[in-house]
Amino acid sequence: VPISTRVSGIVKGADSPYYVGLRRVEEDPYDELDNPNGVIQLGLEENKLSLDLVKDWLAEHASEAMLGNGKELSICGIATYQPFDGLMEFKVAVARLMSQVMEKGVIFNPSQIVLTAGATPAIEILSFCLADTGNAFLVPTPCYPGFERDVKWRTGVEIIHVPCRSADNFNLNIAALDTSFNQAKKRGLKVRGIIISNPSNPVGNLLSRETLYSLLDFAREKNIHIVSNEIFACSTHGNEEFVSMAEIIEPEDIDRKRVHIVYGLSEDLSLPGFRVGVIYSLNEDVLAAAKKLTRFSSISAPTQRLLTSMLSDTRFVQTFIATNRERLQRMYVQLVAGLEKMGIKSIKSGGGFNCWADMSGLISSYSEKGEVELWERLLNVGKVNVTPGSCCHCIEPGWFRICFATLTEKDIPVLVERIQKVLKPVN
Amino acid sequence: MVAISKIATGNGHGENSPYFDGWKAYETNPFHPTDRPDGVIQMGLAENQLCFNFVKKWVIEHPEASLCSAQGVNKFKETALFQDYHGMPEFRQAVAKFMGKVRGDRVKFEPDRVVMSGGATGAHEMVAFCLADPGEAFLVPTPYYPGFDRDLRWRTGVELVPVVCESSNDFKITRNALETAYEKAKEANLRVKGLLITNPSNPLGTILDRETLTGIVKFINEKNIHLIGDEIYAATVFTEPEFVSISEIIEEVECNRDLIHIVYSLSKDMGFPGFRVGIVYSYNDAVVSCARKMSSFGLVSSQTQHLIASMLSDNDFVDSFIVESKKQLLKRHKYFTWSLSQVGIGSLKSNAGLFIWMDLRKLLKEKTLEAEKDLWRVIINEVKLNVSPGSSFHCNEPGWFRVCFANMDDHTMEVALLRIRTFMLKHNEAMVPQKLCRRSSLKLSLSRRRDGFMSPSIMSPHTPLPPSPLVRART
Repeated sequence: VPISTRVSGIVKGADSPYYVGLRRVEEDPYDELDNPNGVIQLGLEENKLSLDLVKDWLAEHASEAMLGNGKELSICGIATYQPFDGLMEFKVAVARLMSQVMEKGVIFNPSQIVLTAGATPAIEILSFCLADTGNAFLVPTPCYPGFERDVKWRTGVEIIHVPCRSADNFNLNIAALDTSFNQAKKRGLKVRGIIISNPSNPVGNLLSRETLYSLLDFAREKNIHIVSNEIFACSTHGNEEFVSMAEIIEPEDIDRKRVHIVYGLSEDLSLPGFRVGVIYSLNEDVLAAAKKLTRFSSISAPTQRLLTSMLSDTRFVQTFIATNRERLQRMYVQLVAGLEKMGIKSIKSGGGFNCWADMSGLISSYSEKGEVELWERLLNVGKVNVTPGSCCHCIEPGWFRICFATLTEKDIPVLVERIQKVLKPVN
Repeated sequence: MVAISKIATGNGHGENSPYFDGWKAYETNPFHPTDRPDGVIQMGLAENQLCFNFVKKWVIEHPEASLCSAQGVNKFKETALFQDYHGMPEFRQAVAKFMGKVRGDRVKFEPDRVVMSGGATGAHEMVAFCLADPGEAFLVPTPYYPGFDRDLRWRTGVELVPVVCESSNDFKITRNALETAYEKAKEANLRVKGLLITNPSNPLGTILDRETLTGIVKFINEKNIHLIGDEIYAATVFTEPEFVSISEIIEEVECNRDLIHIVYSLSKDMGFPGFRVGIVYSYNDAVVSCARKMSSFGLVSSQTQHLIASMLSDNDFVDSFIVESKKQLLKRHKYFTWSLSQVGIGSLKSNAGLFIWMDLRKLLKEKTLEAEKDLWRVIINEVKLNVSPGSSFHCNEPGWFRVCFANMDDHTMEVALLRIRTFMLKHNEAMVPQKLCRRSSLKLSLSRRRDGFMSPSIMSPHTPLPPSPLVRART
């Protein structure tokens, strides 16, 4: 007897380069000492650069971390049913973190927060709340590959890709959004919103204040929502200014009802295993619905308790933010320098863990096929796992996403050598 | 203004039903032994708080199981980064072993079939997404957990068709009832994709016998539909007869295993609802593969996986926990049902779960839904107990109430029983006309009580013949 038709698409996806690459690394992971010929992981968006800071905090504050306000461990306090959308004390701590991270005096109100088990369900919940089956979201590309799953799988909502171009440094183009919107209308597809990532993923662009205002104007004109995925807000590096959608929206602004921010601790705090996601919205109806939907994706109470303690140590958070940014900057600069040495240019990134590299001159044919061929050679011959741009729905072939935050400085020359091996013509 | 979705604005969440009035009453005035002694006592939440001290002792003795200790912090980095939707191997192994132990090691569970989800709530929704398309249906025997209406239908678009079970035969799931429901679905043009059973039952607290389970497995094979077994109360079976799981039946009866799926969780059996540990265990490889990918929407926190892996691999702890939990549940159940019988309240004979299925049919003014609702409002507002009316469980007969007993300490239980006693005394007095003398009034109440609780189907096996409290009060 069949399973549902709606999941038949899901079962198929397992052979995309993204998953194949991950599996190869799992089977044969590079280690400087134990496995120097293993596959170097450059395909996982994780940050290992500052995890030691968190571990040190934990080692120092271990016992208070789980006790909360009491002196004695109270199983009853954390094992029993808790509000599905998160403990208020944790919301307060998260709101404070967001204020610290996004700076500029923006105060995040804990009452406007709904907590979820990771940013993945946060995006899915917003999809369910803002659009009906058969409706669509505009998504500028290249984009995070996971949106296919988060926005579409179970909701029946469509994604309309709005290609950004290398000529614009892959920056958001409002005219392109407008064209896509109108084309969708002609096809009878109702667009309910735009999903942006800021800092953008995979390119790493920071959206300028002007762009954000223009985006808001566009959304107002079409009467649609904006979902701003800001999960790399703390992972900015370099000198550019990060502007959150929260800065653009005034508390009395009628447009506040159309803006929803997604945040999380997986990227900025390097805690993807703990499953902490945030929906921040000033739209009471969306919040009320999202709150009820968190019953399917709630954060484990002991994890909330632990992180409340950690985030309440504001001095630690300050130090972490600053140190993390420094380390990201250093690794990014080294990787870019290494790539430049091989003649590989990349888009200047203001945040995130990726280097968006242009290898279009190095592919055998200017097509997705040529791009995937190069990816395969890099994986099988060079033994480095990068992500081909087609996985990120980039329409220009030859761009590759290289994640650098799982590397150590010693890995850079190794991976440069490996890539060089692949690019050298065979004698 | 900018519109939002139908799912967001509709009533799929089910919280506008009168069922939630009880919860609201509790939330505005919750009982507290010292601060709010007149508050509403929560007896509508199936939570297991009876073994917390037992667990606490283990946690204190095993600091390495927690990341927040000098002994455990060295595991922090790998744990914090672990977001693989396969779940930690140690976690899956420990859960598979636990599930086996709960079934007396009569069956073995494979760790590779253990898939995580956001609690049993998330597990049920995930299974519905995997097995049925919008507009298709599951059959569900009544009375059933009200949350199914929301969890299985809200975002999935799947329909539920009740399999009506009757009190006349202790709500048994008969072949006849199954066939009737199946036909009804056909008439309504609904394609039935599966049958969902909860065993042990919520709200009944009973378990399905081998014969019934075999009949169910045969039925689903004949109709070629899926069988989803919600076994989240498996370890709460506190006395005979012994629990029989679907996993055991399929070893005995010919069955297409691709049809068999189990929903599990640690929320009830271990009393850890706050940890959000839900499990989908399927014998169908395609479902395992698909559910695993979907589990990204409800992965168990790696910190929690680590703790649970440690705890449930400790064989001594698990074995003694299972025994201790049953002991505590039996003790509480016995005391509670006996105390109720003292005042003429009977309940369905049960041997599992965190609640009883209380029989207040004779207190209804008439055999209607309205009368049940009226009685329920009296219980909430005057007796100040939040219990759950049978209608919210789709029970076809008014007058039944689910009453939870494992989510409170002994003192709170006493307060609840006192309130029930007081209410029943007032009620019994009110039923007697004023002019009758004391002796006859005693006689009248005695006989009514006897009818009420001594009929075999609803007498608890642990209820001795009690002396009348009325007699005690007067002598």
